[in-house]
Amino acid sequence: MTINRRKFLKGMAAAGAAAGVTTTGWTVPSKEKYELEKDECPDNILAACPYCGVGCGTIIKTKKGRITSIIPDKDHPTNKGLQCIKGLTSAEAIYVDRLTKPLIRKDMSDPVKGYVSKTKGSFDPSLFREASWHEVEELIAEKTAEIVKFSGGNSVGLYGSGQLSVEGQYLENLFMKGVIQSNTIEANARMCMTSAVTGYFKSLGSDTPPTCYDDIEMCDMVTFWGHNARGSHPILYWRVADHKAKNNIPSLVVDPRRTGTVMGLEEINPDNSHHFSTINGDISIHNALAYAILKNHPDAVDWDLLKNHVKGWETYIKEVKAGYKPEDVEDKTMIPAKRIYDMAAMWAKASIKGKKLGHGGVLSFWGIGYNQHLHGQHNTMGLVNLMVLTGNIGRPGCGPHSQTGQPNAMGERFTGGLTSRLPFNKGLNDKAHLKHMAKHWRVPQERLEAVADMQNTGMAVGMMERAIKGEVNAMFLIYATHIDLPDANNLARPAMTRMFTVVQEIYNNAPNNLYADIILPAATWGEWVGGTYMQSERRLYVVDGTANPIKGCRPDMDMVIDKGKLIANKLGLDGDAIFPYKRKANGYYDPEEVFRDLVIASKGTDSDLTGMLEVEKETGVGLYDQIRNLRGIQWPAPTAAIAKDGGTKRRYMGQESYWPGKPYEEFRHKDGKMHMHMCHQDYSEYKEITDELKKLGTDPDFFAIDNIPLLVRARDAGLTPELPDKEHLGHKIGEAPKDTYPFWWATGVVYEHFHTSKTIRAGTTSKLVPEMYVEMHPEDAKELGVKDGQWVKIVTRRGSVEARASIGLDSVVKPARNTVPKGFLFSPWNLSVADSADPKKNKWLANGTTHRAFDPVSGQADFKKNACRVELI
Amino acid sequence: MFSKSVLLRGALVSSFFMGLNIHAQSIVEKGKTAYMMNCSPCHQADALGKVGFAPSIGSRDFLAIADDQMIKNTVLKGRAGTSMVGRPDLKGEQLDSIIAYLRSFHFENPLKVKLNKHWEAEGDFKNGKKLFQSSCALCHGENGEGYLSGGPGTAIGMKGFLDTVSDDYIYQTLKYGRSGTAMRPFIGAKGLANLTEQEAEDVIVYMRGMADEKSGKTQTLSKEELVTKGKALYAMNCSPCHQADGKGKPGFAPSIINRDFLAIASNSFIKYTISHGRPGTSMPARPDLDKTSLKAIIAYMRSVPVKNPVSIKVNHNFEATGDAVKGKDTYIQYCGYCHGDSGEGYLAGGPGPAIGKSGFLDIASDDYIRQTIRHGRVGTAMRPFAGSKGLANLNETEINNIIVFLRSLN
Repeated sequence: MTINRRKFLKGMAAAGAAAGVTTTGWTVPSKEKYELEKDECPDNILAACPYCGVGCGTIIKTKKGRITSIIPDKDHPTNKGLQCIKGLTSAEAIYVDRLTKPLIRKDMSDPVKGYVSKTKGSFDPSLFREASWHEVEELIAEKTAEIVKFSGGNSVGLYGSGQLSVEGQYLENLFMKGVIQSNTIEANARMCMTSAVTGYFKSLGSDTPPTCYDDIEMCDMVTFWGHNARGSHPILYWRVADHKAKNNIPSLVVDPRRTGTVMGLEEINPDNSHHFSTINGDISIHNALAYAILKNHPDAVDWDLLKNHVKGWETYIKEVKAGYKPEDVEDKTMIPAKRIYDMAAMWAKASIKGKKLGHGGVLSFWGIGYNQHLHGQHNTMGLVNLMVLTGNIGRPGCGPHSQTGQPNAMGERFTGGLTSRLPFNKGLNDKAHLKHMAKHWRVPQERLEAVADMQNTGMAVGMMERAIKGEVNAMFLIYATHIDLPDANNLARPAMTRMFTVVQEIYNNAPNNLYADIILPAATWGEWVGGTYMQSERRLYVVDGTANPIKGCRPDMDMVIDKGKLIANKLGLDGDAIFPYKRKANGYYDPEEVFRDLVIASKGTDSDLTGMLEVEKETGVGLYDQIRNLRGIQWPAPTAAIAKDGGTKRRYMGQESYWPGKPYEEFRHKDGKMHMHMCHQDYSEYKEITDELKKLGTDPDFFAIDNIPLLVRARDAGLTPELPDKEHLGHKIGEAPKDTYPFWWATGVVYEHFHTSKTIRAGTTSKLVPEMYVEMHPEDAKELGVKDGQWVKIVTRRGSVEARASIGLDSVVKPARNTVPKGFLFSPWNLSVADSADPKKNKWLANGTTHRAFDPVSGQADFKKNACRVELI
Repeated sequence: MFSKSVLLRGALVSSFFMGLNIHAQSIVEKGKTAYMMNCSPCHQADALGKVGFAPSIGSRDFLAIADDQMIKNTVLKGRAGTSMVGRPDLKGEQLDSIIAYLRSFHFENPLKVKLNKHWEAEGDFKNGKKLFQSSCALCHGENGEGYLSGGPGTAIGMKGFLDTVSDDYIYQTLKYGRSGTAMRPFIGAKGLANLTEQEAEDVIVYMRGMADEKSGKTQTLSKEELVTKGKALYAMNCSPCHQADGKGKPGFAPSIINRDFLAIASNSFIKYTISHGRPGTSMPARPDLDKTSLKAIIAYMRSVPVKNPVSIKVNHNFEATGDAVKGKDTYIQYCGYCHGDSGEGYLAGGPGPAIGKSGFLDIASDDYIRQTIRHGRVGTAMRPFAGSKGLANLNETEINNIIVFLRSLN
């Protein structure tokens, strides 16, 4: 491609957006260019959408073996025939820019010899040579075994994905922990949902959203925390909006920006639609609301629940009363006390109503904006505390409900494909479960016991820091990109340069390829054999595919099995016994076989699925067919009756159906109780702590993993990674003192795009929102001297990004859907490599700017609270 | 089984009507019975339909956009090619009662939409096709064949639908969607697909021409060809009254090749005026001029170069509210001299055209009148009547009152 995409787009915009953009600037090869394995396949294939975690039912249409389009599944209980623009156009991103052959970098890094490739950072085709599958597989097995012998299993890492099927994730975890003997396994779920995961564990005892989507139509009040559902989970938002339009329920959105969610709900009824524009004040808001409810609405407090089923409530109430009078914490909540009291009244009314009727109450959603905090786990716990205080748990129509980003992020959590986790909501520290899993994984128990003693401090960020330090020497990236990690240029990129890096990738111009030693062409969603996905309401759904990929591409699950067998043999294990799967007549492994193994292994856990086996015995209907027929089964499904009923809709407080031998009581903790832990915010050492955190990404010898106590201090005080130099706001561009960063800088998502690879290649969505933009307050723009539509540079201590200023709802820069508070800038990270993935041309890389500090328990970084300044290009 | 919500709705409605009108109660009750018998098997007892089977006809947005006539036509004629059969047997009171029943549904957040049935979408067929394929076809089918395609959307490409609904019906549906169903709004930043208003019109133009394209009937003239044809047609049919230059003749025919007129009047306004005439004036109806001829005449009128062009946005959803009695006083004081005290036009001897007759009032929206009062007609005796440069500095209330008064004449 010779045209500089950004310039080209600029020209287009000047020529008038309505003129009709006929090309997106991507070299989109014609469909015919790719030869598929076969020229036939079934039509009307049932699947779940490849994008967000809502999990809409989707039907894939095909012609002559090719995917032609998708249509929404009218019979799926989640979306009922509705789908958003990303899902509707997901077929556009399949036969585009694809890899078709395994590639080997001519100049590979060799950590055993201490050699670092000189060509990393470029994916120029001349730097690679094509190879056969046989050759690369042998090479990978040999190199991996060599590194395991050289520096131990824990020096081999894996970065997995919530796009991969449950089966692939299950085997990945087995491969890493059971075969390689490594605890260095992470996934993109880490940057997305782990704050919810760890919060659920701490509060409820297990990683389980206790609610389901049908609670939307039953609730009496709905709240969204750090969650622009209109953009990130449109179907969910639309269901809420319809319920509000029909029943006039009150709503609260807590978000720094006035988002599409805020405005959409206000359009329905401005009188009962509330918006708290806060920056980092969530924990204080929960506690202040709790204070106001305890003081003015004691009848809304569920004393029975607290006294009988909750541990730690006395301390919670005492500390809330002592420290969170709304008037006293306005500096943190950023919300006038009166509005807190009014909201508490509304909250109390809905809670009392729900309790009286036995259904309904307050339903709370939160999204990634809420999880991505230094204190993400505390955000979750703080909200759950407030929900439990007011009895909004354990009955239909209320409860906490986290929303995941990836379509199968829940699967990643379920199968335990993360540091120190095992499948089925248990950790390596649970000896009995470890033994159980060793048996079902067919690996020696001692191997898992050894892994249980290994550390991967700092999780995803830590894994990359360890690589920079030389502790991790090889890395597999599977269906995941490294540009979702913060501070890319100082963290993942130098790490991947040093390591022996193997990527399973579908696209040519993908950022992972820049740092890969070996590139394996993968089959993607739709054209793969399929498997299962797990959606935010714990719904397992079969995601079938054409089983007819582009010639030369293989499904990721198949690669795990093949690689697993080979490497196991090289390490002296019996590969065929651990992975007893055979390719079928169509040439691929059958995911249903793996799924059966997983279901059998789930016996006796809190996510028991073995009811499906009983149904199969009884009726002869296979496991996948049961799921297909019901359009999904919500785990757990421990008995035949529950499995036949579509699984467990809601959990806790006895909401599960009859379940003999249920491994827990009211809640999942051993004592059967919900655990309240008070979470605090204290800004007294804000400056001191953030001054120390500044060194991350700027001082090459300062690592987060060596400073966990610092992160713990920041977490316990509920801080942000950086603190903008607000006193320097109000200057014209270039006139603020050097080395000052007066603005908040947040990255997030835009409705038209999902993450960074597929939707920027799909014709429709790439045209709707084609370029990187930054939302700016009109007064800030005026003070800076920036005009709407002008290109500017956002600079942080770690890097910069170029973006077009989008000012207000009438901006010429699309989509112009949100407004930001003064002193706050926002850009979508989705366009990160939409200009080009090549670092020489890539100016839009959002995570080239972000801070790597993370929540010490959840491992999640705060992408929303960076400090920046604005410069001219 | 009756769903709870229907029972509740019924109860609410009956208690509401009971105190007011015994007859209304009985018609709603009757309608409910007729609905349950004839419509509920497909459209469900709660009238919210079933995805992929029958559309929601009890939803707030459908009832706001569909008028009684549209519902009647659909029931009587059905939708050929779909499972919606025509029910001519339901005509008369029974059908009225079904509509009354649907209209009796209570909504917490009611929506009001005013349809302009004479409005015709203008746009680019090809672009519309592209947009239809990427935004509509996935649910409604590639040819708009509806449920037959396997998607959740209705048959919007079938003649039965297209003949029953106006362009504005489709436009408003794209704008508001149907809350509670898979059909979301599609226009604007809040829409599902972020369509612009123009793109929505393109889609409608495509839907209208879809069948012709399939049968190869479309004959498309280039813009130049249209203008040439239009010029000849104008000379033959319009110039005798409106003059060769289109500037009209005071007291005889108004100025129509006029900057302000063309900025305020939409193509559909002009088309309707030509084909229906202005009864009671010397402007005759010309149903003999076919679609292409009308298009050509308008293309010609719009092709005549204008000095200092203006752009005026007419919002046909605007509805004037005010005091007709006060409006009458203001009207007589400012407008009556030229247009006649009851808007009878040239007949009253003045230079102004008839603006109090149904021929004009039926087609001109409130905002058309408001904008004309505000901006006047350059080069004619009709000056702006608002603002410091106006002939009279009327305020918004006075203008609204005048509009309300004019409406009362109809």
